[in-house]
Amino acid sequence: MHAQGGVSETNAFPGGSAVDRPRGTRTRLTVVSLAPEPLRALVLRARTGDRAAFEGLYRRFAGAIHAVALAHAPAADAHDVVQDSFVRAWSHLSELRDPDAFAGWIIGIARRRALDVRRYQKRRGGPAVELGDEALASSPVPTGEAREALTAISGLAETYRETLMMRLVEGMSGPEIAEVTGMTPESVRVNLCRGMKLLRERLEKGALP
Amino acid sequence: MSDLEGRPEEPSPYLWDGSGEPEHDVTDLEQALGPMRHRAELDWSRVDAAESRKRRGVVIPLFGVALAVAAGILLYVFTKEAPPAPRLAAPPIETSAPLAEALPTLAEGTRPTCSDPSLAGFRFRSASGAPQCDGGVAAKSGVVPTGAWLETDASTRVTLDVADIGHVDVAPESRLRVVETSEKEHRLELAKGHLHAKIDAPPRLFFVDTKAATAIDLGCEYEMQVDETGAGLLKVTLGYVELEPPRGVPEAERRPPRLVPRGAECTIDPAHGPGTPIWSRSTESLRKDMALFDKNGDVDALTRVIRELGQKDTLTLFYVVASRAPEAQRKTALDKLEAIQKAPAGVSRAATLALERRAIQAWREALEPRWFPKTQ
Repeated sequence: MHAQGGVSETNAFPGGSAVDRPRGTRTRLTVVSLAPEPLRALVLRARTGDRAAFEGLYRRFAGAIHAVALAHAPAADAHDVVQDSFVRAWSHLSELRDPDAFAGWIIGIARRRALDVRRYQKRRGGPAVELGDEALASSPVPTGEAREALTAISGLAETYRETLMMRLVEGMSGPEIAEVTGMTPESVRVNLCRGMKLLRERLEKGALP
Repeated sequence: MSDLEGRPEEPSPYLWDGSGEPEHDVTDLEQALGPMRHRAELDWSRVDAAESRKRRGVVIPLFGVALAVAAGILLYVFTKEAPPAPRLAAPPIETSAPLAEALPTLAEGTRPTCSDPSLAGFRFRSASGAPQCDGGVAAKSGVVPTGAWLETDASTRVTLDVADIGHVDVAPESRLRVVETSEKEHRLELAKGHLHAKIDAPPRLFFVDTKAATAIDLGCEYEMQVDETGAGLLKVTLGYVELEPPRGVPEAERRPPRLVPRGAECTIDPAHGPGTPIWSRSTESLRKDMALFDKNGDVDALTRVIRELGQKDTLTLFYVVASRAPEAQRKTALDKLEAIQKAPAGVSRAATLALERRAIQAWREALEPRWFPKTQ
């Protein structure tokens, strides 16, 4: 993601996916030097119905929105939450008064949508996700480690969940998280530091379902 | 800033921006969670469908207003321009008769089909292009009445409302018919093309018939495509769908229904009905071999499939065991299955291989928790 973003693209390991790499191998967070189109300009263009501009917004924010979705909704529904959030954003873009507030606005949409999905699944009695079952394996989460990690992260406070999902799943760097979410870099530092500390504690205790 | 133990709250350089020495536990988490990273493109078809729904909400009242205004103008024009009846002029009936005859003719030439909202059927709206409905060019929105066919060309996309329980997006180059719509059953027939259904309703209320199988909604979202011959693929993205052989297939030739859960797909073929469900994340070669067996009975392909199936493939293993595949392959599949899942209590290997209904049902119940997420 973030072809137009400031700091971006991870896993720049030729010929191997994250799962192929040996333990302890660095995940490279690369600074993309292309100057991104200002957010405000993209939002204003998208408001006029410019699909290319809206795709620019999608590329910039889809990873973060996916992380938010994972932080609140069953993993298998996260993709739907991303798509639904952007559909809603496209339909209601004219209602966004301040184009610079797009990040917080669409993250709010995603959060509400994810919580709706979660509530809906509960009411309906499924399909809530038991991570690691065959159905989930159909999305690319084949390992028990992923299940364990997601379960542990899901037990953390919302702000840590979202930040850690952005860092560990989407491979976003701290500065990028700050840029995309509108949080101050200091807040992101605190969230990463505290969240990771709590996550380590949970994993040591064995936060398996 | 200080953390819970009074130390500065500073993430390591690696956690912060990937610089510095990698931390092993962080890299482990990245490697475990990295495959879940978001990669999908924006699905413009969803955006278009939402826009179409929004437009419909605005267009219908506007259309009503426009109609009223047009009627007013017509009334004004006719009353204003109608000359006062001259004393010796021909009777008004004679002068207006040609116009009266011409109006219906003009109207017939341009009147779109399926525009009567009072008919029983599925409401539709075209997201792009101009659908054909009931043999003519349809309105941009209206109702596909029961029994009528809806067709889309290469540039047409249509969304159908399935009463108030969901919607079906119809892709270009599709042809389908509304078979029935009632409180008990909503049924479409897909003759060719591609549809995407999203239904929120009790199980067994929405059906899609094809030449090769009937898809029974059990609370789900899925895609179905069939070609001109009726062969195709069902792909489930939410919930689960049951695939049954089409109506009319003799009992002796009927394959048992297939349960296709979220994340799985299943081929259908008019000669054999539903194939063997397989997870969509399976490799292309595996899915291709499975399709070869389902369509042509290629035993070598089935052997390759069984050899490749792993711990997370009980869905396919089960349906191979429960099929009429050659016994040697079924035995191998059962060996693999038993290595993953203990046989249900009271179910013998012999009964399973003999396809005794009770044994197969018990196996399916034992395996279903692996296929379906548990309730939260």
